[in-house]
Order: sequence, then structure tokens, then C-alpha cells
Amino acid sequence: MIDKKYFNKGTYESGNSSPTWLLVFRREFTDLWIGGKALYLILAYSVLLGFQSYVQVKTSESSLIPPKEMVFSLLQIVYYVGGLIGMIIGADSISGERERGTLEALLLTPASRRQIIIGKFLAGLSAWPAALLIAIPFLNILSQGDQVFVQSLIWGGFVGSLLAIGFTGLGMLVSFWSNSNRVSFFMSLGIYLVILLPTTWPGRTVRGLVAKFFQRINPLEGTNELLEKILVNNRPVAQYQSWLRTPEIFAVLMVGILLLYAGSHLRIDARQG
Amino acid sequence: MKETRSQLLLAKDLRKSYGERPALRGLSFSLKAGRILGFLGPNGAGKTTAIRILTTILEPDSGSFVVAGVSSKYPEKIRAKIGVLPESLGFPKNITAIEYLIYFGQLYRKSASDARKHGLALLAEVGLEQRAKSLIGSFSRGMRQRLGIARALVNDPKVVFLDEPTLGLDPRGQKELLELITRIARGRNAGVILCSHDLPEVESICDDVIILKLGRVIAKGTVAEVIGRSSSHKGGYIQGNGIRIQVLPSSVNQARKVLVKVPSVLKVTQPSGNSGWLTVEFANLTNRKSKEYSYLNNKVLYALIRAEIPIMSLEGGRGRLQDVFLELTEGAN
Repeated sequence: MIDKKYFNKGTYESGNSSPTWLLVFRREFTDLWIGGKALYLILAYSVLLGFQSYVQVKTSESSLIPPKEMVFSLLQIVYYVGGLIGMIIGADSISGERERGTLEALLLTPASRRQIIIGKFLAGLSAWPAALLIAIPFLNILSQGDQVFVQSLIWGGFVGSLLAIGFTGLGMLVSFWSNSNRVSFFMSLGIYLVILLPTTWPGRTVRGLVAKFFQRINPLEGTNELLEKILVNNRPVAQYQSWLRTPEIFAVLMVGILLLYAGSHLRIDARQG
Repeated sequence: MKETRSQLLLAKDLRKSYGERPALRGLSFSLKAGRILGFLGPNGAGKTTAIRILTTILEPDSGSFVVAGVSSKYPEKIRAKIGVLPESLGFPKNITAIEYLIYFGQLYRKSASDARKHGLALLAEVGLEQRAKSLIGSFSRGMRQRLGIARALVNDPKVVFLDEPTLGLDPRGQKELLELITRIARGRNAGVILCSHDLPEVESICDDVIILKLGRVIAKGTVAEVIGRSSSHKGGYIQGNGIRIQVLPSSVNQARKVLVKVPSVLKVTQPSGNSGWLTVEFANLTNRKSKEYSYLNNKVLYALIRAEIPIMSLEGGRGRLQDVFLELTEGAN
């Protein structure tokens, strides 16, 4: 039998319900972690981290690499891969729902588009704390009791969070403008490589104003410069604070565009966006 | 825009183009409470565009509409008053049916406990109460469609949009779903807009119908009116209360002569082609379900049997919307 009393109420009740962003966050978070996507990515990341730590310990036995350098090297992997995971999850968050046909049902509710975006963004970001947490024992082992361990957690955690915010937002923006997941993933990976590759070039190749400009606006380059000086070279933070601006601006810019533009233009078809 | 109390939806001159290509060219119609409106048209006629505009997913280039007293200027408020089953609705696979309905109930600002109670009631209404705790990934297509309808009803909508709800369902699934749709309109006094390519289905449950062709409305009215207005069914008499009889093609002329002599038969027409079909139209009839209608059917059959004309098949006035649709939309694809 149908309970009639539930059919005679108002259509949009203002009961003691949770805010939309929290509902979307919970749903997305469950999907990511129970559904397995985030779990698989974090699992792969853990294996990579373990392998890299093992190689570094073995290498340090023969090459006498100082703990500070080993910690910095591993920290680089933490925020490189942490950012990449955020970007991959972000890249699936909107175009994936478009492709699976689940976005339309969400957009047909009176829920605010901006709150939907916020919920998805926070869920996409949830992999970063896990990535940082997993890195702690590895960083501890590699630091061999050096105080760089605490510094790496503080500064790696802070700057890594900025990068994770920026890359998750960037991935979501690519996803926002893509109708298919394939396009979104390839675009995201392409953009990530464009940002990552210059960080692998030797310092002497960065000559001229243009090269220096691109180095300066690269959030990964900024993070590398800052953390290397603080953690490896024991330089004061104040002296290299300007390198912090790049990841800061990157994070603020991505979140700003995401909330202000994508938050009000979220559509079922990317071409209408 | 004037809106009478019983009109749940009033659309006025809706237009939409994609670049240079017009998709909708002046759609105007109204929908009353408790009625089912069939939205028909060949592929590319503008049905999906119209539905997306009316469900606030798309913005029209011009024109306006009112849903349950809310103007199209307030899309969020309209979304609170409508329920939609889109054609290609996807479902998350890793949650249960009741979790899915609770989630959507909460998006409509119900508390978790209210959303659960309401969700269970809806699952009972669509016949899925036994599968409330099953993962959606394990559902058949028919069950997903029913769950989609339950989701569309989660906010007790005033107007329900159903886009191809019976697509891909077996005959039993189709029948059950059509009964459910009728219950939604009659039981909840909601207005239902049904998009379907299955014309006998539309004819069997819809009160009104709109036929679109290349973005334009080419027919509009009650099902009987639309059938009556087409060239092959003109006359303004029976309005849907006729009968179609198929005899051997060689017996068509003889059958016509016999049938026109039957009292109350107003007209006997032969549709294009000689497939043996004849349309018999009765005078002074308003209700296809009346005893009088059945009696006239008997008289027609008796006349043919007495004349020893073999009867191949018989349709009790149904299936004619399909003829009208084909006639009106000819050359649209």
C-alpha cells in the first residue's frame, strides 16, 4: 500500500536536511572509495612510493646520499603523484557523469550547480590527505632521525595541498568542458605533462626571459625550488617565499574559475557551457 | 500569460535553434491536471529539445512557459515541481535502490528519515519494494526504468516528463509501466508528458497528443480530435470510434458495398495501397467503450459473414493514430 501522507506534502521541503554540497560530497566520496577508483589509484601510488624508497635506501648505502636529499626526492613523488591523482579524479568528475548519463538526473533537481561543483571538488580532493598519510612512514625511514622529517611534513603538506587543490580544480575544469571521458583524460594528462616536463630539464637549459617566465609560472617548478631550498639547503623560508606564490596563485585561480564560472554554467552538454 | 487553475503547464511560442538550424519553431500548448499528453514526432522533430526546455535543462531562444504557477524565469523553482525520466538516464551501480532515492529525496531538502520513508513508499508504488536493498547494478532494464520513475516522483511533482519510458521493455514490462503511468496521472492528479515512438501505446493511455515535425506543431488536441482531423479520417463524426477490418484484397470492393448498407455506418474508406484494410466509421458515437459501439461492431461483422467475405483481421478503432502520424510526418526523415 502507498502511504498517502507522503504524497500530499510540499514539493521542496525545508526540513532539517544536509546542505547540497555535503550530500554530493558524501555520494561522490562513497563512489570514489567504495567504487574503487580512488582506492586503486592510491594503491598504485603506495606501491610506487615503496619501490622508490627501497631504491633510495639501497642507493644511499653505496652513494652516501644525505637523508635530506632522499626525503626531498620522495616528497617530490608525493606531490607529483598526489597532484596527478587529483587531476585524474577531477577529469572524470563531470564528463564521466555526462557519459554515464547520471549528470542529467542531478541537474534536474533544484540543487545549486555551484554546490554540486563544491561537493564534487571536495570529494576529488579526498585522495590527497590519504596520499600524504601513506607517505609519512616512508619519509620517516628515509629521514633517519633528521629534523627534515617534520619540516617535510609541514612544508610538503602545505605546498602539496596547494598543488592538489590546483590540479583537482584543473582536472574538473577540463572535465567541465568535455563531453567524453576519453577527451577529458587525454587533455588532462597532456596538460599535466606540459607542466611536469620542464621540471625534469637541467637548470642550465632555463635561459632567457621567456624560459625564466615559464619556469616562474609553473606550479611544480615553484614547489621544487621552494622545498629544495628549505629542506635540502636549509635556507630561511622568507628568502624564497616568492616561489610559494606560484602554487598559491595556481590553486586560487583554478578554484576561482571552477566556482565562479563552472559553478554557474554547469550543463548537460559541454558545448552549451 | 494567462493560466487557468487546472492548467499545470502552459507553454507559449517556445523557439530554439542550434546555430543556424532551428530545432523548435513556436511550440505552444497547455496541460491539465490528471491528463496524459503524448509528445510525438519523428527523430529530429524537436521533442527532446522541447522536453529539455520545459525541464529547464536548456534555455529557449524565445518564448516562455509556466509550470504549476511558476514562471520559466525561475528554473530552480520549476525543478522543484517537476519529475523527469530522461531517455538515457544512467544509474550508479554501487548503491542500493533505497539509498539512491534517499539521496535524491535529500537533494529536494527532505530529511534523511523522511526521504527513506518516502523512498520506500515509492518503491512499493513502482513494484520494487522487495528490491529496496539490492544494488542497482543488479537490476534489469525494466527495473531501472521503474526506479527512474520512482526517482522522478521523489518530490511529488505536479508535472511528470517521461521520455521513452517503455523503450527496450518486454510486453509485460511495457504493460505494467503504462498502468503505472496512468496511476501517476489519475491517482496523483499530476500532468504527464509522455514521449514515445510507440503509437498504439500513446493511443491507449494518452488523453491529448501533440505531433511535431521539423520543430513545428503539426497536430494538437485530444487523441480523437487529432485522428479526426487527418485527411483519411476527416468528417468530424466518430472521432476515434471507428473500426478497421482487413479482408482479402480481392474482396475489398464487395466488402465496401456490403458495409455501406449497414445501418449507422457513415463511411467506409480504403487507406492507400490494396492491403485489404477498410476503415468503417460510425455516426453519432462519442465513446469507443460504450455498449452501442460493441453492438455496431457486431453488426458490421455479421454483415460480412452473411455475405461470406473472409475476415483477415480486425482492429477496434486502435492503431489509427499510427496512420495519422505516418500521414502527417511523411517526408520528415
